[in-house]
Amino acid sequence: MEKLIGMNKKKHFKGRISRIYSFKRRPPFFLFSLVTCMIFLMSISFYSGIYVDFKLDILEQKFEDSLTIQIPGTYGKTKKYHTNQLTKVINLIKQNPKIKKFNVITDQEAISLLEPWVGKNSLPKDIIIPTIIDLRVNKIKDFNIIQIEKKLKKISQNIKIFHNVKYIQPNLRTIKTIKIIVLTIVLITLLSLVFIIITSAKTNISLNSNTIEILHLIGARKNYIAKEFIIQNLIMGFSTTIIGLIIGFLCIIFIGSLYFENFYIDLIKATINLRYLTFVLFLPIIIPLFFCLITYLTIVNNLKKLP
Amino acid sequence: MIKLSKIYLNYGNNADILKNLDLKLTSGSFHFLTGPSGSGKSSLLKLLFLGHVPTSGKLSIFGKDISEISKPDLPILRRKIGVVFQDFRLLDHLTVIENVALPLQIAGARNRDIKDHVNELITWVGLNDKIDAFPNTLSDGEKQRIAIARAVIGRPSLLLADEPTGSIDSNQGDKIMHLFEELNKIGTTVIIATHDNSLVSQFDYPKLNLVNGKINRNE
Repeated sequence: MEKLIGMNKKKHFKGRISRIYSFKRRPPFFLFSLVTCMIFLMSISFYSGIYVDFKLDILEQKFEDSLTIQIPGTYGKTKKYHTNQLTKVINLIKQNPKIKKFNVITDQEAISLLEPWVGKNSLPKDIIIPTIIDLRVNKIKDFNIIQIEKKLKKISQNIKIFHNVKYIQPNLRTIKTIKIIVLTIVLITLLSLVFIIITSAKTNISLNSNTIEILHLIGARKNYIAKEFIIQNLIMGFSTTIIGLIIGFLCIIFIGSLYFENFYIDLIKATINLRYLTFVLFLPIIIPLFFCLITYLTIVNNLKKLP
Repeated sequence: MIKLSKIYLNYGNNADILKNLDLKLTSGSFHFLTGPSGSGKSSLLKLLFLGHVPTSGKLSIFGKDISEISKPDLPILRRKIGVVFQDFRLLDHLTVIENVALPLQIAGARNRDIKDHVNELITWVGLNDKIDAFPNTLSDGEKQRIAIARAVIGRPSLLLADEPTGSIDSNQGDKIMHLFEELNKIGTTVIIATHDNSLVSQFDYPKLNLVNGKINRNE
């Protein structure tokens, strides 16, 4: 070329001519903010969802792994007889390694529980108050209730053991319903996010259709054109996800802390749960990759329309 | 080298822009494509730079029938064609140097070679002080010179220019025409579409006069 046009050899440009222009072609702010907002909303619903799930799990677990032993105050027997039965039961509990902890409800507590029905100080002093023992086991599935029930019956036929979960059966259905509602909300926001990503990637490309056409006309191959937009949308996908997740997290911490104590500790504990942590960590990878896929398909589709 | 036989072109509104066009241009020739506005000059150029496919007829470029060229091979063919668009078609987000360098980058040239060629060409078109400027800060004349630099940087086998001197002064126009002549001397086929009769009359090259979608040759 220099021989052809016979010009001087003075060089004016010493810098580097970039081969990737994606950094120069910033996506329009409205697309960036739209995706960020959607990820923010999705993260709010997601964090709320995992918090609710975490709390409901704790509640469920509390009843699931707990049992109650009732030692009735036998008619005609002495207080000593009752205390003797209680000691035997406690020894039996202590011998069982699968029982994590137990709590004997004191007479005072039991009396106060009866107060709404029988009134204050109305119980005769010589009456033997039934004793309630609250048991916590490591895992209810590994715990043999029938076996311990047999041993309790040997101490007294009147001693009973209950699985506490039966007291909250109707509440369990409510818990399940709440969980389904929360999951539905998270799924709806996720689907909306998918829709927004598809729309944003397509809009970004249609706004640059002129660039695609020029590159195509001067001999750029499909992959060269796609590369430019893929890098751009990869950056947009990654940055919007990170920003959306962080703002969502901070926002939910702020709102939650107004209403609940130790909210942020519980939320962090909930997020650390492997399945949720995987979701949070993979989101900044999955969203940009999804962006890239949509970008590539849209460009290929656009190029098909060109001669 | 370029052969059009029985070419028809319409954009789907039933009115034929080009009608039964037959044309044969040899390799290394220099032609002016003239004709009134709306005669189909730009459409003919569009066919030649593969920006549109003919509605019917046979178009061969570099001895190859374009209907027989596979899609993956078309970019290679396009790289041999330099185009100066009437509306410049520069990429607004790229600087002057990046716009000019684009065809070489697309062709996979080395950075050092790109820099050498781009610097020389930009200096030659007189825009070395605007290397880092963006197209939207340039005048039409400057944009046109950038568009010309981009079209010729890859040393194309076929150069198509749509009103290449329309927005530049006569001095710059002469320089540009000189560049086109120099390119033609080393074998580039040049077709310049213009309705500037004063420009056409300055040179002794054959004219293709396009009227109502048909060509009259004026040698």
